[in-house]
Amino acid sequence: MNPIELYDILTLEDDKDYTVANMVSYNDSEYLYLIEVDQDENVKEENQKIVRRVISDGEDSLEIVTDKEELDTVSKLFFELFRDEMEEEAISED
Amino acid sequence: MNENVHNVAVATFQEKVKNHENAIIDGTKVAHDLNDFIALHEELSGILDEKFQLYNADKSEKAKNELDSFLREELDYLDLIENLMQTLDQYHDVVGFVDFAMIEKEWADVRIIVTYQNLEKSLNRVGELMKTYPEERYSESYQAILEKKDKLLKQVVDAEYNMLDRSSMDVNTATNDEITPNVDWNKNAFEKMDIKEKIQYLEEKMAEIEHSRGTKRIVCVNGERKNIPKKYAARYSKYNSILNNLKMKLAKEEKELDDLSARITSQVGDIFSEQTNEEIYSLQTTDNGLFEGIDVYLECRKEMHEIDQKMSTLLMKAYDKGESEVVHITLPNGKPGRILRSDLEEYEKLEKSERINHDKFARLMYEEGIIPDAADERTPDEKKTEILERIQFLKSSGVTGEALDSEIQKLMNEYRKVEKRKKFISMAGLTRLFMEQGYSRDEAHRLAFISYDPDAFQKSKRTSVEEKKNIFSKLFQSFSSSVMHAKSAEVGVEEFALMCVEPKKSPFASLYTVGINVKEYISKVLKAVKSVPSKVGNYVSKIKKTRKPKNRAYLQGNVKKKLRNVAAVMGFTAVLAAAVTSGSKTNAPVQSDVSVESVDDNTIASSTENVEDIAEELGDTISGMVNKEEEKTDSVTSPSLDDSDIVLEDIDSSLPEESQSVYIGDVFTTKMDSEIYTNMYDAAKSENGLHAYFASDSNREVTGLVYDYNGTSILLDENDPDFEAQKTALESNGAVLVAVRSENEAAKDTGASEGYWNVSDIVLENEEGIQR
Repeated sequence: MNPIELYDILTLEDDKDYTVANMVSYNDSEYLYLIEVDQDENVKEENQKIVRRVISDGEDSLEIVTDKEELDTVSKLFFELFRDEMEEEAISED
Repeated sequence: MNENVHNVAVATFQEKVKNHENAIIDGTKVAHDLNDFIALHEELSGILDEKFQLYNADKSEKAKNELDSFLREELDYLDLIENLMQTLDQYHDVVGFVDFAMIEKEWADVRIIVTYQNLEKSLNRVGELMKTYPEERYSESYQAILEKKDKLLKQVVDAEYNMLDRSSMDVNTATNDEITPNVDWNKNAFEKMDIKEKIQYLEEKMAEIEHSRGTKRIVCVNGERKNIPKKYAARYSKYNSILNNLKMKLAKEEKELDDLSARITSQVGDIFSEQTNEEIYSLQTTDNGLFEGIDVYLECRKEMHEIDQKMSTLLMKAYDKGESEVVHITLPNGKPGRILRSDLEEYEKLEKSERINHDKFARLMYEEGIIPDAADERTPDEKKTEILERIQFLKSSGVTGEALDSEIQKLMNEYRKVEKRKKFISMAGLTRLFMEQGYSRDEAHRLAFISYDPDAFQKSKRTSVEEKKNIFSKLFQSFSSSVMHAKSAEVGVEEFALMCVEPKKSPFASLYTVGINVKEYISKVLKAVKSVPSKVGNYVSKIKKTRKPKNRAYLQGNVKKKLRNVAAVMGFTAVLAAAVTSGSKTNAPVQSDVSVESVDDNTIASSTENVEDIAEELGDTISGMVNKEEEKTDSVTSPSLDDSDIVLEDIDSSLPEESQSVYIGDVFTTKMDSEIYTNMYDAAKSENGLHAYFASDSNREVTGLVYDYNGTSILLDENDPDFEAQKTALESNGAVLVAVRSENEAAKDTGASEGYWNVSDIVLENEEGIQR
């Protein structure tokens, strides 16, 4: 798998561009929090996804998380990540 | 007339065009002879000249665009009437002499076309009003206009055909280096076409025009600007107009057929059972006579197929044998054949058995009323449409009484038979498909029934969501694997489905319709699957490309801003609120985006308690990813919209940070290049404004104050009786002054409001004329 970094822009099969808003690891899998961006890289907040990185047909792919339990867990991890970042930001700006 | 117009010249022009249009519609302006026609044409040229003067008064492109937006309706009308007049003028030139009766007829066509367009505009206006004011009187007038418009539809189509005919009389002015496309209208061929062919024909003609060369001009079609060669511009507009009318006519006819179909279906009742779908799903499918019939049908088909194969094998054995060993026979298809003398007895037994099966099969087909007519190649849907059209024709023929009733009854029975045949064959085909995929007979029956109407199953209250997911998942996989198999075998979906349900070489009933229907089922099932709350199946998307952002810092800031909202909604507000109230982070910069003080305790509590729910909402958003259709998902950033959530929305950074002291009656000028707004909502933002008619240094007076209160715009009018009390209440509750309404001194005597200005764009003056 090629390395993916925070805020990289990924073009998926729906021909839309997404930025990597955050990443977490859980159960040996890597999960990405994607937000769609337009051509000028403005965030389109109405389209956000949590996906798992997988290899499909030998290619780097993303799979939508549909299992409820898995989704709940990963959502909470992302939530905690956002919260921590905001706390850090608030402290550093204080 | 556009109520937002505050430019006197523009308003006068609007009035003049409106009067011209009304005069044509009500028949005050009529061309009885050539002199009338010339006079009317000159009058039109006069108005068009005024239009250009108006445009040239202010040459900036932006000002012209503003004028366009104010005068959209008027320009549409002028374009239309100009095209019509030019067509007639050109026709008169080419023909040389047009008698008066013909000119009157021409004018009648013009009036019909203008009236129709006017009704369309009125309909749009009332439609807009209905959205804002759902009062009965609007819906009544909407209905009345709609009826008028429908009545006029046939006439307007005829009128446009006539006009098109006349426009075809033009002289070819194309130069040698221009490609002259085949854009001419073939009237004779056109009239013989059915409505769908006509639509296709016109679309092709329009495409030819679009791709042809020559000096271009802009033509506005269906709200879109297109560059069309000048020579064909008028014709292009007419093609488009006819096309739109034909499309409407087609939609109307199709709707009428659908309505009739629905009425007939409700009269003939459910073909197989009067029970509702919900009840049927809860029944044991084996109890249903329908499935017993399907079982017999499939069994017969299977046996006949096996017998057929055995007979073929016996016949093949005699292929290269000598005459002494064989017996000559007549095959079931009537052709001569040969068989080994030793196999003759077995062959005859098989033949007899096949005949018995065939009779049984035919009896069943007859009893079920689904005997296919080999010579009839029409699909059941085509047959149904024909029957419906025949019924419609009979009803509109003026014939009444018993003869009509009996004929309609006959047709309705025929309709019922076709419907029954279609349903039976489809269900049988589906049952076979599922059985071949390893499902038990009962399960295959049930899946077939659900596949036939997945929407009804999706709505069923007797089945749990889990069970629905399970069933839809099975259906999805079955259909998907069918499609994939079809792909790998390099045959079409329909063809493959057909092979699943009925081997093509079979000499018996063709089940082609099932093949077509399977494709519909796939899309139906997929649609139903999508609407089940938690989606089934894992969707994968390849990463086509990865790149670095152009401006990482900008994107990061943007993302963080959005994620703050997510976190706030998810419950972080509670954490932040605690931090703020503890005193350590009173001035946390986050406050500019999230108004912590305004989040009440309930929000905090519900936010923290509902993480599970939010995670589920995330799931809903996520599963929309690789679904091919774009669907509006519930965004994680926009959950419930109660009052407390509104404060989580960004307050636009363009708003002034603190209220200015502005009072009613204050005089102000505006900053250079400031823009004026026609409504107070837009004035709160610094986009989509217009250039004011009066210069920025002209004196304006404040006649109203616009406050932003938690995202809602509130206008305080100078005439409000409790003006002061409202102002104090708003300001003490944190409302921010965002815009002012103005009256321009130069237009004071009209009493009209000029528009709204963003408060950041105004420069106040004190009584001595010194800027504050």
